Amino acid sequence: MTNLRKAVKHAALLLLALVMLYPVLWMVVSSLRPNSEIFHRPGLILDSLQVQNYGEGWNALASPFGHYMANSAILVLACIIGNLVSCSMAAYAFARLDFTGKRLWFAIMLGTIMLPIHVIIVPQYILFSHLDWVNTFLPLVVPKFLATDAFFVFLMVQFIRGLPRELDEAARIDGCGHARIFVRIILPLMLPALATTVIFTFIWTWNDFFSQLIYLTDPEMYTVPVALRSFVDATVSTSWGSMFAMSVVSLLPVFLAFLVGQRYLIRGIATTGGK
Amino acid sequence: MRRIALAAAAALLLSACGSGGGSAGQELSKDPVTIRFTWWGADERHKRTQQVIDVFQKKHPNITVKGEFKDWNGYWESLATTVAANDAPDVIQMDELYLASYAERGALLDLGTAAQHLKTADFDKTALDTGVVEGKQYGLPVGLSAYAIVANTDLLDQLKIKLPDDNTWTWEDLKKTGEEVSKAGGGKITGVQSFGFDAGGMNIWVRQQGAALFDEAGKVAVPESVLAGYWSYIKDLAKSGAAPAPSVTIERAGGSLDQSGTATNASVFATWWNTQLTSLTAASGQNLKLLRLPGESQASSPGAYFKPSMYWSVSSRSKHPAEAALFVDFLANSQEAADILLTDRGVPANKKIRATITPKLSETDKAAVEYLDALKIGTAPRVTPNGASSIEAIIKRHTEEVLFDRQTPEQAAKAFITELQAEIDGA
Repeated sequence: MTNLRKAVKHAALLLLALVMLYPVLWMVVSSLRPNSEIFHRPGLILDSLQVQNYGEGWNALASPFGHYMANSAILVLACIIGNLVSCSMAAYAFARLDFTGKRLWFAIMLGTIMLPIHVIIVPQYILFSHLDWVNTFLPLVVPKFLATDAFFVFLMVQFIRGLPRELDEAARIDGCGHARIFVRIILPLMLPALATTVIFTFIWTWNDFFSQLIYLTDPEMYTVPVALRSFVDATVSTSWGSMFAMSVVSLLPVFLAFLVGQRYLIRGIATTGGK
Repeated sequence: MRRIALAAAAALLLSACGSGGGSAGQELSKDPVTIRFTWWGADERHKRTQQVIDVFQKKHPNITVKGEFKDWNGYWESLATTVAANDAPDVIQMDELYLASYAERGALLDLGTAAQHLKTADFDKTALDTGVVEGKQYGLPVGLSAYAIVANTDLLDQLKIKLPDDNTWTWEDLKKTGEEVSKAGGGKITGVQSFGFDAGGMNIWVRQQGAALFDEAGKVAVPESVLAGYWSYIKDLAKSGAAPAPSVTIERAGGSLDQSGTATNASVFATWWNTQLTSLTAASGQNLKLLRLPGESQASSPGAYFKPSMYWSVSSRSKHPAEAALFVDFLANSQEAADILLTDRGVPANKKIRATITPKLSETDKAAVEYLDALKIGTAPRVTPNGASSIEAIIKRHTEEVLFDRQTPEQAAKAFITELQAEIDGA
C-alpha cells in the first residue's frame, strides 16, 4: 500500500519536474535542430543530431564565443571577491558595532535594494564617464568593493546576529580587537553565508544584462549576456540555432556552480532567517 | 516603460546642455582619429558591417572606426543613456520612430552642413525628405521599404484556392478569401494573420481614407471614426474565423519574425514590409509572394508610402564630424560598401546603388526590389513626432483590448488618440 502511494507520488513529482524543465529541455533540443525546424516543432523528439549550430554559434560574432565567456569569468570573479570582502565587513559593523545613526544607515542601506537600476543609471553613467571608466570593467566591479550589494549585507547581518555574542566577549577577554574578532571568530563561522554570497553573486553577475550592455561598448569587452543578445533581432530572421547552442554553453557554468554549491546555498539561507 | 524613463532623463539633461553645435564643414584630420559607430541587428548584419568597416579603414588608414552592435531593445536603452551622458557614438543608425525625438533635442547633426564630405545627389528628393525634421536633414535614409501583403502561394495551391487579383482587391476580398482558407485549412491553417500591432498597417488604413496620423505640427490628426473602422475590421477578421483566435494572435504578436504565422506556414496572408520577404521565405521554406495592399484601387490617394528602413545620423556632439560624415558617405554612396551590405539594411534608397546591386540579389530580394519599383506611392507621412515613439505599444495594447472584447472599437479609437496626444504633449 505504502509502496503504491510512493510510486504515485514519485510519478506525479516527475511529471511536474518535466513540466518545469520543459523550456530548458526545448532549448537544448532546439540547439541541435536546423534553424528552419525550430519554430515549426514544439516537441522534444530529435530526428537527427545537428551539432553544427555549436560550431557556427561559437564563431558567429566578432570574436569566438570563448572570448565573451572569458570576459564574463573575469567580471564574475572580481565581483565575487568584491562582495565577499566588502559586504562581510559592512555586515560586521551593522551587527556588532555601535555607532551614531546605525538604525538610520541600516534603513537607508535597505532602501537602496528597492531602487530600480533605471533610476540611477544615467547619473551613474555620467559619473563613470567623467572618470573615463566607460568601456572597462571598473563601473561593474568597483561598486562591489564598496558594499553596494545591500542584499548580501543584509543576509550577512542576519547571520551574524544569530551567532552568540559570548564568543566575541570571550575573544575580547583574551585581548582581541575588532579586526581580530572579525577575522578569527566571525568569518570562519559565517562560511554558509559567504558561500551563499558567492553563488548568488556568480549567478546574478553571469546573467546581468542591462548594466553590462550600458557600460561595455566595445564588442571586445562584451560579456556572455550581451553577446547572446547580439544574435537576436526582431525585424530580420535570427540564427536561433546558434543562439540556443551558445545559450546552452553559457548555462553550463551556472549549472555547475549550482550543482556544487547548492548544499551551502540551502544551509546559508536556512540559517539566516530572523530567529 | 524603462525606455520612456531613460528618454525623459535624456531630454532633461540635454536641455541643460543646450542644443547641438558641431558642424562638419571642417577639414579632415591628418592625425589618427577614432570614430564610434553604433547599430542594431543580428549576427549576419554584424559580420557584413564589420567587413565594410575594414574596407573603409584600409582606404583611410588614419581613421579607426569602432563598431558597437546591439539588439533592438538594448540599442535604444543604451543610446538614450549615452546621449544623456554626452558620450554618444559619432555615427548612429537611427529609426524613423526616434528620429524626431533625438533631432528636436539637438542630439543630431544637420547633415546639410556636411555636404562637403557627404554627397546625396543619387537620392530622390521624396526619399531624402523622410529624414528631414524642422527643415534640416538629420537622417540620411539607408534603405526603403513598403508595406505589403505576403501570401503563401504553396498553401493556396494545396487548398485549391485562387490567388486574388491584387490590382483590384478590397479589404472585404481579403477577409472573404481568408475565411475560405480557414474553412479549407481545417483549424491548422488560418487565412489571415491578424495585424494591428505596428504603425505601418495603421498608417496605410488611415491614408487610404484620406486622413493622416499626424498633422504637420506633429499633433494627432486622425479622426476617431477612421480608427474605429480599423479596429472593427481587425475584430471582424477574428470573429469570422479568417484570423486565428485572439489568444493565438497575441502570442504570435509577441514573438519574433520566425515565430509568425507566415514563417511557420500557419497563415496564408499577412502584412509585412516588402524587404522582409527574404527572411520570411528562408523561415517558411515555401513560396511566398508579395501582393499589393487591398483597397488601394478604391482609395482616392494611395495609402502606400516609402518607409526608410533606417537612417544614418551623426551625433551633434561628435568631436570628428568631418570624418563621421566621410564614413556615412562611404556607407551610402560607395560601390564597395553596397556590394557587401546588399539589401541587409533594406533596398538601398540610393538609386544608382540600387540599380547596380539588383543583378547580384537573390530571387526574393529581386522580388522585393521589383515590388518597390512598381508601387504607386503617395507623399511620405510626417516623421513620427517627438514623444510618439511609443505608438506601437499603444496600438498593440488597444488591439488586444478590442480582440478580447474588453473595449469596443470606438472606445479604443478615442482612448488611443487621447493617450498618443498625451505622450506627445509630455515630451
